[in-house]
Amino acid sequence: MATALFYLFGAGALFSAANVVFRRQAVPAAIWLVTCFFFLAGEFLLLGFPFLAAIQIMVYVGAIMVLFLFVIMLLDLQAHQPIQSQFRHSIGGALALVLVALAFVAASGGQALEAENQPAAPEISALVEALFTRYLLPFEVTSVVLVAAIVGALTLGRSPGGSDHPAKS
Amino acid sequence: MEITWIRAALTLLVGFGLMMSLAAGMSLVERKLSAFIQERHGPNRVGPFGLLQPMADLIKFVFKEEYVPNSVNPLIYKLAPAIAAVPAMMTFAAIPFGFLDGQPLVIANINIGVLYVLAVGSLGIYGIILGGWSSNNKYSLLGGLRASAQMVSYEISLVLSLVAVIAVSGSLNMSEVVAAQDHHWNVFLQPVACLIFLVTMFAETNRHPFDFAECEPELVGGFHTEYAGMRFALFFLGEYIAMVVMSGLMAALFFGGCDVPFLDIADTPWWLGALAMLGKTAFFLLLFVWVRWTLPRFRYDQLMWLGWRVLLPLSLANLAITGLVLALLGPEGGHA
Amino acid sequence: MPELTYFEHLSYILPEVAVTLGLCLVLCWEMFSRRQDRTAEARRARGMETGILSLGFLAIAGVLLLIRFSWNPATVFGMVEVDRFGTMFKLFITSAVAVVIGFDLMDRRAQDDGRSETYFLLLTAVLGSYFLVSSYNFLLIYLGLETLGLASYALSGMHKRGRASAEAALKYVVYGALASGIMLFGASLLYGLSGTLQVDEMAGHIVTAVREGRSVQVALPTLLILVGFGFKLSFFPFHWWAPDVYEGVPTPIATFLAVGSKGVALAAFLRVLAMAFAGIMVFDDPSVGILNEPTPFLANLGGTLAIISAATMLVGNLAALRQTNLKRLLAYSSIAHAGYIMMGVAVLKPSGFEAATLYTFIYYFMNLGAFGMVLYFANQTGSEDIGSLKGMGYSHPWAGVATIVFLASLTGLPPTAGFAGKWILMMEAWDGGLGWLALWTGLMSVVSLFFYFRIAKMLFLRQADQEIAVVRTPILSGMLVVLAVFSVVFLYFDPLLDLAKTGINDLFY
Repeated sequence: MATALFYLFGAGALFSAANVVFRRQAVPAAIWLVTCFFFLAGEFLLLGFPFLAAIQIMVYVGAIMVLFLFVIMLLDLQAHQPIQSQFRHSIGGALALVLVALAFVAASGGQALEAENQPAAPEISALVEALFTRYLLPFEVTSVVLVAAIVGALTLGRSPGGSDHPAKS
Repeated sequence: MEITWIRAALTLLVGFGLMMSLAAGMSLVERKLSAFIQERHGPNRVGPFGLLQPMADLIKFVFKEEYVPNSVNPLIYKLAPAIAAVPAMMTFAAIPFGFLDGQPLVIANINIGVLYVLAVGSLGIYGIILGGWSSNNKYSLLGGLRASAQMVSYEISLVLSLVAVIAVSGSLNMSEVVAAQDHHWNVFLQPVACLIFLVTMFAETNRHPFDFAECEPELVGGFHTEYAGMRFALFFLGEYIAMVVMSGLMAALFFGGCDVPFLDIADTPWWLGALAMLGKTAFFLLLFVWVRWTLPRFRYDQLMWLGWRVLLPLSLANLAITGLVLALLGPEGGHA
Repeated sequence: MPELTYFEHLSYILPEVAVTLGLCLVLCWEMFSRRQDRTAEARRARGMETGILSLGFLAIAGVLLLIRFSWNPATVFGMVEVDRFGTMFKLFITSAVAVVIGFDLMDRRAQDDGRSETYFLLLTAVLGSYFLVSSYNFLLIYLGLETLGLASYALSGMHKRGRASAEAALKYVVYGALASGIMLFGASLLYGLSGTLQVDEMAGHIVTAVREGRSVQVALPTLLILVGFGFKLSFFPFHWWAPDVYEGVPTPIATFLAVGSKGVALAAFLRVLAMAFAGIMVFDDPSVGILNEPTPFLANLGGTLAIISAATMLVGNLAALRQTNLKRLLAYSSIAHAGYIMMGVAVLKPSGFEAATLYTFIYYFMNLGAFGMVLYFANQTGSEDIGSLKGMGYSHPWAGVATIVFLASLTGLPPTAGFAGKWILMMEAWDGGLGWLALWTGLMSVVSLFFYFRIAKMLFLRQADQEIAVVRTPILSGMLVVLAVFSVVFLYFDPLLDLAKTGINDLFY
């Protein structure tokens, strides 16, 4: 049952991901990405990480994709223009896909790559403890990355020479 | 095995019935109360005191023509109302109504209940966004756009305020959070978080004074301009159920849930506990209506200002102070 | 080793802490100082203040690094190796960014807007580089790479000088994101193979896999990770972003991208290679003699790197021939140099790594000088076109002569350090069985002579079209002269070579 569901969710995730790429309109593509995230959350659930599944939905679906949709809709006010793409790009993409797939088959040697010491699904407290002890340094570095990203985004978004307060009146 | 199935079916039935009747009752109460506030009569023709008005409304919605405008994106247009209503219904499953023989009275006793509610609850916005987008109508699109911006701005503060509560209670399980509040409700331990949650609760349900997504004077009907009949009713239902869930969350997470003042949770009869929970939920539902007919709507930049420059720093500071205090109190701090 | 307390751990990463404090302070300074005062003078002054502040903190970090250089290697936080190799490259990036900030302060064409943000982002990049060069945990390596990357993207997009620049920044972000995604993919495959993110623990699994003939399982992730580093090092076929981006951004930022970010990416690449593959590399260990039997996997990896190296040289040098924009030309030149450096890596031996490290240090001096030259003449003429240099050598003798030195060094002509570095690289390649690559490098150096000396020709053999008033920039001229002196002095490279040897020694033994 669990295995069947695992493959079902996996196929669903792949199908959704393919749709993200092949949709010509931005909003449906974004919706397919949302579906893809759902299937991935389902995989996390099956693997015994309900916490990750909930976070996945909350952060990616509930916040990030809403922001994506906001931006798409903000830019797409005029018309539902299809995304232009060129035939030779599709050929290149397909070729890359086939190559990578072949490489993966070769790499796995016909059998699934299996982690030798697969960790057991941890409790949330264990997850948190690892985050604040073993992985404390990466955790802190992440905050620097985020601050850099925020400052970068703000600087890029600011109109040149303008003030910080566009709508303050 | 069979007992479990029957029990599950019963729980579902009772829970669903409760949710639907709360939502339907809410539509009547809203109209009655608004009439009272504005010194009108309100609905009083269908049944005694207009009590059957929700039924009449339902029948009207069901028999209305399901009109699909030509210019819309049909699939998403038809899907959007369901997307708006279903997540709200799903979150209701995690609201605990008390304890029966030590077992929590809840449809789904999820270990990470708070996260579940936040995760699933954050999906309802998609109904509004997609409804607004697929309608292919400027007003609808603007409504969807506003809803998404507002959602992103307030979701963070909402989550952060709840994280402080979780830190104090030491659990993500809703029933355990309720049990931890025996005699000392979180509203007293986390007054700032409670205030932030109160504000964001209105924003998340798109209720007045945050109802920018529909906003009749500016956007006609906002995201649901192009909707009629049962589809419109689903949007409506989603909003009301979301209100019920948010009120339930408020009651359970900040006001002790089934805890009756001056009684131990363990000693409280289950019906009294459930009644207490229902009463608290009803209070916040009434608050929604009360606020709607009392306060004017924000201006849009005020909305953004409040979200990003007041609530977000406040909730971050609240979380930081909570963490600091808990760390100073040591592992025995808080309820744990 | 006794268990270290948290603060003892922290004491090992004091330079990182200093830089973090510095970047916080720069950010706060910009936020809180004279917020109301938005005149051009106030903004210029604020840029100057934050620049000096950043330089101060970089100096503190540099001193701390120098002190730490004599310490014994230690592992802190379970994933950061504090050794001389890392410290060496930390000094490298610290001083490079200090020079970049100096350039920026002296850039007469710089906008006053967003200067503090520039310094903030540069400091962030320094911090990311610190973790990048000293970590052997893929999570931290990725985070370091991403910190460096995000800062670089923002830096390259900040100065909106028209559509081309915006397009370049966008390209950089999109392809950078793709490259780091591919690299993460490779790391996750290695995680699948070994069940750990620590490169040192992966090494055992890698050796076993190669010995048991499952080398494809290692080869694929290695190639994917190569993409991530290849993008930062801008070697073929991941080089095309560099010319557009270098041309679009202000010269100081281009300097940073060409020198700083490339150097630290190389360091991290060397560390990962050394840690992951030391178990199968064929080299003379002074204590036990030759360690390992040659494996086909190693030969293939070396061959791949050698081909990449040769192709990178070809692409860089040929494309540089046709450039008229100085920064674009230097971009292709730096691509070609990535090819030279990769030659040392392709040998896959400590001695080859030493040569690559040494060449990176020499590259640092001559490329800082070359970009400084662009900045200097752009300050004079307001143009980065090669034609604008006509006859400038006579009106600016010091800078002109220094430029000749940099160009000679970049070409690899005898009286300069560039010659020495390239010579050692070629010898290493020859000894490592890559004789054809050494010959190829010689050929490519001859090709490079043409475009480097087009610049020299403009400077000294052409008459200026019109007189341009000389703008005196003593500090910048001084910096150029010092860099030029270094570019010559390091022909006698013994201390530098010793340094590289010490570092690589830490890496392997």
